[in-house]
Amino acid sequence: MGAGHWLGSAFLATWLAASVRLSGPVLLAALGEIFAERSGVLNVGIEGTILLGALASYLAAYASGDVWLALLAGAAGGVLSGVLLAWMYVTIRASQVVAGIVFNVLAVGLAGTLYRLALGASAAPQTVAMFEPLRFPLLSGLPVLGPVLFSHAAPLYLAFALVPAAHFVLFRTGFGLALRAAGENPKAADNAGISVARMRYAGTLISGTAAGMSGGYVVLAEVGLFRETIVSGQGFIALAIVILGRWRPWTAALAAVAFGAADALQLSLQLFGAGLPPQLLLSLPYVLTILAISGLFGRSAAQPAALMQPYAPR
Amino acid sequence: MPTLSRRRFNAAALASTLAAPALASAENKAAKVALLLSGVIADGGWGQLAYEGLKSLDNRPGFKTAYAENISQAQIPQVARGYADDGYDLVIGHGFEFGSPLLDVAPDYPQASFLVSSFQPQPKVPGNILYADLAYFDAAYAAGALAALISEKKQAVGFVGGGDNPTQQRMSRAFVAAAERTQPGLKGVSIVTGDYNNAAKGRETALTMIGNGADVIWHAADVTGLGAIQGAVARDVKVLGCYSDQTSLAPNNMGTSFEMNLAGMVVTQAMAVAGGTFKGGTEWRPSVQEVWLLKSGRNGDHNPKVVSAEAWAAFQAVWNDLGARRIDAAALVK
Repeated sequence: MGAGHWLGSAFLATWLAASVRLSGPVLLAALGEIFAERSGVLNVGIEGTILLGALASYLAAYASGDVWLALLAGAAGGVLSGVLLAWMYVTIRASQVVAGIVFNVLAVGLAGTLYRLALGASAAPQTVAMFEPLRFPLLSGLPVLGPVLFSHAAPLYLAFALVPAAHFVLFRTGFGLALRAAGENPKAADNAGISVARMRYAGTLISGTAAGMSGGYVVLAEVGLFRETIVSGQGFIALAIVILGRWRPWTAALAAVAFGAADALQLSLQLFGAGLPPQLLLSLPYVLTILAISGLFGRSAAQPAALMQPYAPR
Repeated sequence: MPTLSRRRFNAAALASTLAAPALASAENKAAKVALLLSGVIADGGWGQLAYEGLKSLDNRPGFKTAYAENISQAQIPQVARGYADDGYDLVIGHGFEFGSPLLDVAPDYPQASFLVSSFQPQPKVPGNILYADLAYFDAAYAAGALAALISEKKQAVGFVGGGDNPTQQRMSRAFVAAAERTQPGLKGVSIVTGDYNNAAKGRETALTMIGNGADVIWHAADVTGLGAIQGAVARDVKVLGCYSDQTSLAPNNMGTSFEMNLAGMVVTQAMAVAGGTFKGGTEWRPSVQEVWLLKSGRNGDHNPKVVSAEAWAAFQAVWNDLGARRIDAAALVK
């Protein structure tokens, strides 16, 4: 077997396919987060929401064996988390960063406890039903393009289908306009008869639903089991993707694929040894995160003006 | 850290007062044992096996146990001191990351004993701390040899590593060396993911290797490894388990699991502390056959549908050579 095999189309196909797969859950979470941030709420709690969504999906799949029902359960878990978070962000007007971080810590403890209550502390890992990769006639058999674009599970296509939907709702509907107004200039929105609190609840709940589904995605399309460490920072990467994507669905999708590509590349590059120390490769996605939030990509211009500012109507 | 409600604390205090005379006679055979984990007890592997040792101690009269999960590197000294201050006789730091921090803690608590389930980090260590060389490189060598033997395409076999630390890097080299020695022309490949807890990344790692020609996957990566197993199942290639018997995760694809006898380690050393025979200041070196068990659920030690009789016989020769230290994997990957 020559070196050609190791540098050929197999390398390209596996790398790109992994890039697309790894971008799925963060893209879902980031799409929802765009709605929250556009309404003026920095929902830092998505990391914990993804985890609780993952748990809800896992338990539903465990009990029912139905993957679509389980994905819905993940969304429901996300909605519940979103209600609590929105109450803290909007009604209580707590610091969004502090409330979000505290919620993330709470979620880890809660998920671990609920999981152990449901399955027992020493239970062997139990796998649940998962989405099967879809097969497209002809297309799935194409070299490179087949594995990269036409061999994934349904939730991945759902995530990418939601990109134009999110764009349409944000920029082509009255609801989207009102939501963005609440995040740009809440006082003006209020004067125009828009309920800022209602818009921010809506933004946070959309974010919660998407994050919950993202958790369901991880369980039902990637690993088929649950651990309280399963989310491992995907929520925070989603926050970075929103910034890198300038609070727009289409660019966020590009950013998500770029992150997936960086994450997958460090795996593929390690296969070759290439003389690069693995530590350097492992840091790739984090270097991208730092670049994303460094302001190099025009942070101030695109950021909603009233982001993180609690609004109290008079 | 486990928290205790006031009511439970009062109840426990009352119970211990009442039970004190009964316990007095057994006192020199008992010990308070704390298990410190950077992960969780329900990880289905590394943490869980040690926790099972702790649970079996609980069933012995006089033993009292506690555990703490998700301890970050920065919290280690403080958590370890907390248990030593509370009068725990044996504090177990479960993993490589506890090796250095406990060096500074141990001298301040001469009445307590410390056990780290990883290598001795420097030539001279305090007399009340015991390190353990748990034959990782021998196990990785064995797994590499077995992977090469059961590979059908004889093209490549892959290792999925966890945290980026010297133990994982050397395990990866032992696996690769053994695979390439056992089957000349076959390539051993390895990816250290840098993470013990990212199942999704583990799955992608396995898929990346399989996409590039590997048809047997082994991991040493805890929860990340669970994902690697899922990846192998998704592409229907062979896989080997690690740390615990993981046959149930891949009943049709898993040849065998290299299960670590960590419960045995916890119980053995706790009994030594209770009996006053605990000896620290050194490194404990059991053979690979003492600390690693071959398990395949109801199949016994291997799944005959995945591992041919011929491959298993060839593997047994390697396994026995490692057990008798005729092959020194550690020297090979220095």
